[in-house]
Amino acid sequence: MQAFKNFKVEPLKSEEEFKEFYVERPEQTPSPIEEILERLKLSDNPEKYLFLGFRGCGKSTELYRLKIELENLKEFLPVMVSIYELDVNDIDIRDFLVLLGIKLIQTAKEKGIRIDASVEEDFRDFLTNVSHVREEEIKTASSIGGGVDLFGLIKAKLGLEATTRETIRKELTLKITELISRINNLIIEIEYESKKMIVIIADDLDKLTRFVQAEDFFYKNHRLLTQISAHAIYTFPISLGFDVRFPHVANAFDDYFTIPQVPPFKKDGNIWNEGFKFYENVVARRMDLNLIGEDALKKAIMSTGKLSEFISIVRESCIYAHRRRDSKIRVEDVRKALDKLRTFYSRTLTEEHMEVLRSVHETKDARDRGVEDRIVRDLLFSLMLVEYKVDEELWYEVNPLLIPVVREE
Amino acid sequence: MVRGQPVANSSSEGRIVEEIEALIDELELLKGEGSVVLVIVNSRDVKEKLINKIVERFNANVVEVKRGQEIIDMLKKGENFEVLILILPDELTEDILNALNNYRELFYRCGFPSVVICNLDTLNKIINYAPDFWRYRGSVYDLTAVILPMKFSSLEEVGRFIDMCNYLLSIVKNDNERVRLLIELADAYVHKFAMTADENDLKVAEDFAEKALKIAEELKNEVLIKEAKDLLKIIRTYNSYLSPEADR
Repeated sequence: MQAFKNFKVEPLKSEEEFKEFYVERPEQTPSPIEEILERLKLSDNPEKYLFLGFRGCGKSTELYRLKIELENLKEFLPVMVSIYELDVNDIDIRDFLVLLGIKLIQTAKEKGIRIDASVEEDFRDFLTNVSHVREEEIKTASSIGGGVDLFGLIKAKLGLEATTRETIRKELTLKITELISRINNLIIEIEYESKKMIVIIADDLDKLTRFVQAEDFFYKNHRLLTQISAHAIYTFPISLGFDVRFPHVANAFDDYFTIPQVPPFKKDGNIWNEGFKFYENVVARRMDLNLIGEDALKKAIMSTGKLSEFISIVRESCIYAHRRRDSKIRVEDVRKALDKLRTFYSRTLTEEHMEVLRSVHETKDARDRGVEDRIVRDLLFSLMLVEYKVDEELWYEVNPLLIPVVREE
Repeated sequence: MVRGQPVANSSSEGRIVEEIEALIDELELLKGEGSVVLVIVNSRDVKEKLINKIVERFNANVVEVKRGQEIIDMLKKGENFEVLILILPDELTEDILNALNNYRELFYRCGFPSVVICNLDTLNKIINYAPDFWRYRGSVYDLTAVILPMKFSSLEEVGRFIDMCNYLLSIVKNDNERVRLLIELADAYVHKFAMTADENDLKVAEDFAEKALKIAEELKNEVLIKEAKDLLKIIRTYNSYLSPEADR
């Protein structure tokens, strides 16, 4: 059961977790974190990067690794911001910028960095003004305990209350540049007091649930993100990376980086040893390899070909083995877990989707027919299509889990 | 009392929101068809807020026009956006006036509405030197009378803001941020002057704005140069009210 617990489909976060579970990617499909780190070290001016990658390819894990690396260097102060602290189904750029300001203050406080009273008060007054939060509400919240202050209260209200979001958005419509100025004031002050350069790591922006929401955030408002006067790395929805407007947006940032999925097979379908070994090592770090049959492991690797899905299949297989009162995962356990997930995916497939999947499986290429056509982007977003890149070779494949469905058809 | 002094009132904010929302509604209706919407605006802040609001609602392409050919190219080849925002320069060249006048029909053939933003002086030039374009215009929004609400409710508040900016100025390392703070300070002193009518405040505002402009020019940061210049223009307009003889 320890093995089951070790296969959590969650990003690695702490230094201990990294020591225990992290597996280096093959050098042909490297993580861009080392390059980002080098560039931050060399740059005197605030750099803004977009960070792209398919869901479940290890983006958040790599960003947490970046955070730890930065914390170990004396010149940087990483500030992690995740939209999961808000209502991910209803978020826009104004909510995000308010959250960013609050996170700057909270991070400084956690690290014991003093913030000049005038700078903090100015931000506090501004937030009180735009949120219409009353003094009594703050008093009530702080009396409940848990150290809730104005910032914690507004963050909670932004995440939970639609009316607060509406109020703040309406107020900020005409005051968004004032908010950005105040965020930049906080950055100046915190960097001065800490003698460190802030690096904002905005995770989960790629999980903006609705396409329109993501488009509004990045295509209409990306200029606001570039006005923040600190190093910043923003995760970016990969599906928008396939939009014709992407080059225009990317140009507004200093650069963009893509973290590739690690394929366990080559473009022609044969096993790619380095990739296969990577997945094997992921298991070896989490459990004794004797606890999983060789054929079961191979089946799990070749039928998923994506990190988080692979981890989730092994986790599920652990349960099936446990139910059989067997200490070893057998191929039938893996098959059962795969069937369950496959059914879930294939239920949502339309004939139009199937046509695209068949074509991608044959050609290893994926393109929408026109600007308005979004099938490929939707399939990539839902992980029914996967993009692989080894060295400089790029190709697309149907989610390995669905290949039997496509072949059957 | 200083003539033309900006007076904060509660209706100012309502007015700007109303005007901008009317413009947004019109753009919503014009989606997918060519048209010209002229917006006359003198204040840098109002202009900035107007653009932010349009960009927030539409997939808009914002062009600060420098040459007439840019307008022609955008209208001929423009695609993948819903609204074209053309910001005309304060000094309109013959080249730009000709482009507006001679290629006016392109505005209606292009498949997206164009918002042409200019100030009152520029508008007078358009009426006189690009009369056919003026004749072809669609709606006109006059935001010249709109003054943004005062940022500060009391002298004490503006004083606190000035102290904070001075403190930040003493510790800031990033030059672009230094310019922003200088502009903020200049702007705060303009607001202070609006409350006190003290000429010294305007002088201090001018000093800060000039310093901001100098560094922005060294940095070759076009956005900040424009911000500093716009602010200086406002400050000098107030100055001319204070000493009208200097204008003669």
